[in-house]
Amino acid sequence: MDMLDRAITGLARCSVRVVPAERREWAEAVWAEAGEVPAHRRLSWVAGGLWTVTRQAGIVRRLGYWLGVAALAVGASEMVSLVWRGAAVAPGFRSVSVPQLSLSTGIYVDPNTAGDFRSLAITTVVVLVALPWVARRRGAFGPVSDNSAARVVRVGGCAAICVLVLVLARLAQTLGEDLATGGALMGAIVTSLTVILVVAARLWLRGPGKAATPELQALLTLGFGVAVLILFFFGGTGELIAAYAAGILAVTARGSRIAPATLVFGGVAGVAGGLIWYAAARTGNPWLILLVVVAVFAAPTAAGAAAAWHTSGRDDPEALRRDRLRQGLAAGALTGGVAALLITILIFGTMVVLHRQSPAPSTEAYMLVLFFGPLLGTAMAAVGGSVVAGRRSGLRGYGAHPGPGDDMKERAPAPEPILTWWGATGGPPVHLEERGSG
Amino acid sequence: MLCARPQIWRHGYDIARETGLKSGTLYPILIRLADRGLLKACWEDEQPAGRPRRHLYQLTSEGLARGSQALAEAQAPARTGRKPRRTVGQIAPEGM
Repeated sequence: MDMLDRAITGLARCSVRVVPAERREWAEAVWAEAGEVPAHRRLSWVAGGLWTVTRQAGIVRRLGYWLGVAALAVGASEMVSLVWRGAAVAPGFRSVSVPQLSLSTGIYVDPNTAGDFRSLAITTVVVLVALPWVARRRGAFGPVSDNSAARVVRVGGCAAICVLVLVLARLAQTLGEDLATGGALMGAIVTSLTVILVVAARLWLRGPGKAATPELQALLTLGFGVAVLILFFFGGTGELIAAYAAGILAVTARGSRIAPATLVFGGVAGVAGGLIWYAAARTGNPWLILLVVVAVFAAPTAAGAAAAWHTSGRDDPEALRRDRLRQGLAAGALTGGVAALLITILIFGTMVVLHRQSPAPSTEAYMLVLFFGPLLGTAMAAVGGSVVAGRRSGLRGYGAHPGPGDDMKERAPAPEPILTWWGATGGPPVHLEERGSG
Repeated sequence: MLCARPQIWRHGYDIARETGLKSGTLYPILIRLADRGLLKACWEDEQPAGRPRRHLYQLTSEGLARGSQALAEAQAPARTGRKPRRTVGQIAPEGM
């Protein structure tokens, strides 16, 4: 026991060094005071104290994120490798051209699709790596925001994109369903027009658009989104996947104005909507299909309304309304995007695994889900968000949720909690707080 | 307890023993109080023989004022007609 005690306390002592500088003093304090604690309680004292200090410093969250990034890097390289090597065409399925035997791998590779998917896989990885690096100073796509929701959405979203590329490649390689559309010229045109549209939108929003009402701003933002999506509709699969990657990196970046709660609402609603859709497509249950129809409209509307409802803390009611609309639209777009990614991956993945044709009339129809998912989500969230955006509660200094009939001007400022923790007995939260003058 | 003898510098285990809080509960409170300027923290000046230097804590004047106010309110629930709030000193000590 003494040896174990020495080993663990030694480990704890080493762990003090990995605590960030701003919290290291506290970790050292825990360690220094461990000498006062009776031997039989020392381990729990050191472990409890260091765990707390470590958790407060966000080390576990950062470590979890970097482990996720490492797993993502391994998964992305495996995806490139699998796409590169190709797969045997399933017997009895059509192929867009006569497959040729690859001498290096011994696998029949379709020469028409092999190049497309190899470049798609490489482009995807380059976008995922290069965008955060190139834009790291502006923070637009750069370092991930310092909260768990952003980290989960970023790692999960990038992983989903890699899986989608692999599934699309396998769909072509094994079942002859080539969905990698669009050539280099079309891609260049689409990319250029998109950049022009996005820059024009930004300039307008910073200039004359400032005077516009939030509803008009939201409508025009939606219009720009529709235009960009229409452009991408005529573009290629590569551009669409790059747009998804850029969107995921943008909403989870440190410079993003999207709140963690918005990411949670959008992500959860998207996953729920996607799973319901997949279950309905697999089973063909008419009740589930009805549920899909409801989910398609209800999930982004609810996510948009919830994100807008959750937004508070602005002094100016107009600024708060604008902020709520922005959060609502972002939640809706995220809901649509997450659901679309999940649906295509699950449907195409099932086809690849089971070597079966699509339960849908055509696989191209499912690619439309990727195009229109975020668009529909944003439109529905605009409805949900604008319903609650005008809510008068949530202004800074007036408490988050006043009851019906509360007069805003007569409410005292919300007390600032100084101390809240769960007692040692696991009882209710303990508060020691500053009282307002009222 | 920090309010009761505000002039005395206390170390972490000393506070934990008196309040019955575990280190995993105590340190977040100390860190939060220090972050908000309600608690001063420093190391012992001299290196004592046979043990490491202690990290010592004392309430700032603002911390003392707020703590005293909160204690007074917690101890006089009848006057305000509100349910008393539990404070550090009122948590039943439990084994470390």
